[in-house]
Order: sequence, then structure tokens, then C-alpha cells
Amino acid sequence: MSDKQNERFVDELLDASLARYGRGEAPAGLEERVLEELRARPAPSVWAWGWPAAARWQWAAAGVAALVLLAGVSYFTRSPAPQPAPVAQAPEAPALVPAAPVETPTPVPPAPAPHPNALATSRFHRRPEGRLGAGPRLAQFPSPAPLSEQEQLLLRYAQQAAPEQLAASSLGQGKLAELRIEPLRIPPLNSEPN
Amino acid sequence: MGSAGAWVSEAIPIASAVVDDLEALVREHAGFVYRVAYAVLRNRADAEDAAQETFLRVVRQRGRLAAVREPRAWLARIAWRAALDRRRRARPEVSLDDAAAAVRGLRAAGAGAEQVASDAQMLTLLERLIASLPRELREALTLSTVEEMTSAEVAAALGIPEASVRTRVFRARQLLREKLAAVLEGKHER
Repeated sequence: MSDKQNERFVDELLDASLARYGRGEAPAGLEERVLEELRARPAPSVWAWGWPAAARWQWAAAGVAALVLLAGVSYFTRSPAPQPAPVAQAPEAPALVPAAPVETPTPVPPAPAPHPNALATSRFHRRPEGRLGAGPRLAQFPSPAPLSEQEQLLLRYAQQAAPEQLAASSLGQGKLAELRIEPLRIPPLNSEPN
Repeated sequence: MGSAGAWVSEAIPIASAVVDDLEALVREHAGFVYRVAYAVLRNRADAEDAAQETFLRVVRQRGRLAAVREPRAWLARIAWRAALDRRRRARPEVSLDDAAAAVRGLRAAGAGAEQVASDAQMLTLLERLIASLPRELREALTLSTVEEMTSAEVAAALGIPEASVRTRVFRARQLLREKLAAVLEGKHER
């Protein structure tokens, strides 16, 4: 056989074989057997746990989301644990709401050194002390504090000086004299069209 | 249709329209589902089992029935997956050499292409050659051999664009042709 005949034979054989390949006739009575099989088997429960199967996943996802939200809210809103009163405190400092007893500090083991390859710590690590929630909650906000030296001097001056004197001191006399207001000049409206 | 409502579920009543749809689906498409499964499994008993499994999966997804717009493509996809799951469990090895030798003998005896194609050994040889194709080409070619499947339905079953189906089928036939020619000349890889 020549090459051309060979090629044609291969083409024809492939076409004929592929045509037969997908020609599987369904056996007789297949539909009835399928229906019988379906009748014989108990249908899978759509309402397992009392919920539809699809809704079950939705409820589960919603539950997980709610738990995450709850955990997040409780993490960011929780009040810090009562802590011992600061050792050095101003004498006029207000009373603390939770009168925490002063405990003798116990030695804290040094924190382990971070791994050299560690790029970042967990995103959920606790907020560093010294920012929000660093100290005990006070009874009054803003918390009253003793006046500084300058504030005490200012208070004394305000109590002793006359009101005119105070006004003059807040805005200098020279500046009052320089203050001039120009009279208003409004040109008449032109009613003729352009 | 009178007993249709009884078989889907005894304990849980389902809308009779859905049950009727299911039974109509079986009666109308069981043969098609069987052929899709057979194209993959190449075994009548396995294909029938896969067809049963396909409709069981349909029952599990019956809530979607109302939303299915292309039932044939939808069923083809389910049947395709059911058949693949079944094939993974047992795949009997077929001797390529024996089949190739038989086909060469037929040809040497002067049999024509149609006569060789109708021989069981040629079918076995073709199965082996198709099985040796890359997966993407094999899937597209296998489904496209199912008589009544359009390229759009093959695309829907495989979840790929229709143009990709045509390209893959063309490439698969090219490769098959090369392999078949090599087998007939006794140059195939073992």
C-alpha cells in the first residue's frame, strides 16, 4: 500500500471507530430500573436537623461570623484587670474606683528574645501597656490634678485684678487703637442691558 | 405518574411538581445519561450503575431542579462526574499489544476501515489510545463522541468555553491519528 492509501485508511478507520465509540445503546428497560432504584432507596433527608441542607451551611456560616464578631468586640471593649496602685503618686490624686490592694511585685521572668527570623508577631497580641487601659479607671474624667506653678500664678492674678485691667491685658492697648473699620461702599446696580 | 409522589420520599413530602419533573427527567434522559457514562467507562454494567448514581445525585439536588435551564447539559455534567468517580475505583488494564496485533492482522487480511472499526479489538485499541491522551484532550474528545452531544453541551459539562472544546477535540484527533498510524505500522510505544 502506498503512503497515501495508508493515510486514507488511518483517517477512515479513526472516523469509523470514533463514531462507534460513543454509540453505546442504552439497555432496554433502563428507565424503569433507574426509577425502581430511586423508589427503593430512601431519599436523602432534605431537612436534617430540622433545617434545609442549604440553609444549614448558611446558618453555620452565620454562627461562625457571629462568634468572631463577639470575640472581636469583647477583645476591644474589655476593661483591664485591676492593677496595683502606682507607687509614686501625687498627693492630690483622686481616689480610684477599684481600691486594689497594693501587692508586693513578684519578679517577672524576662520575655524570651524574639526569633531572628520572626517578621511580625501575631496580629492578636495584646495592646501594649501604657496606652489605653494602662492605669486604673478614675472616678472623674478628666481627672483633677494639682495646679502647676504657672496656673496658680494666673489664678491669683485673675482674682486680684479688675475686669478692665484683665480685658486690656488680653488685647493690648496699642492694638485696640490701631483697629479701624472702613465704611462700606456699595456701587449702584447697572440696570441697562449690555 | 400516579405513583410518582410515593417514591422520592415517604417521610418528607415534596412538591408533586418536583417529583413529576424528576420522573420526567429519568424517562426522557436516562438513555443519554447512560451513553455519557458509557463513553467514559466502556462497560455496560458500569455505565448503568453510573446512570443510577447520576439520578440519585439529581434527587439530592432536586431543590435546584426548577432553576436548571439546560437539563441535558446539567445531567451530562453529573453523569460525567459519576462515571469518573466509578472509573477511579476500578480500571482494568487492557493489553495494547494484543489489540494492536489483532488490528494489524485484520488489515493484512484485507479488511476495510469499517470492518476493522467494528471489531472488538479495534475498540479496545481505541480505548487504550484515548486513555493515553492528555487529560484535557481526552475529556473533550470522549464527551464529543457521545452522539447527540453538541459542543455547547460538552462545554457546559466540562465547564470550559465552547471554542476550547473545538480546539481540544481537533488536537485530540490529530494526536490519535498519529498514534493509530504508529500502531498500524508497529511503531507504537509500549
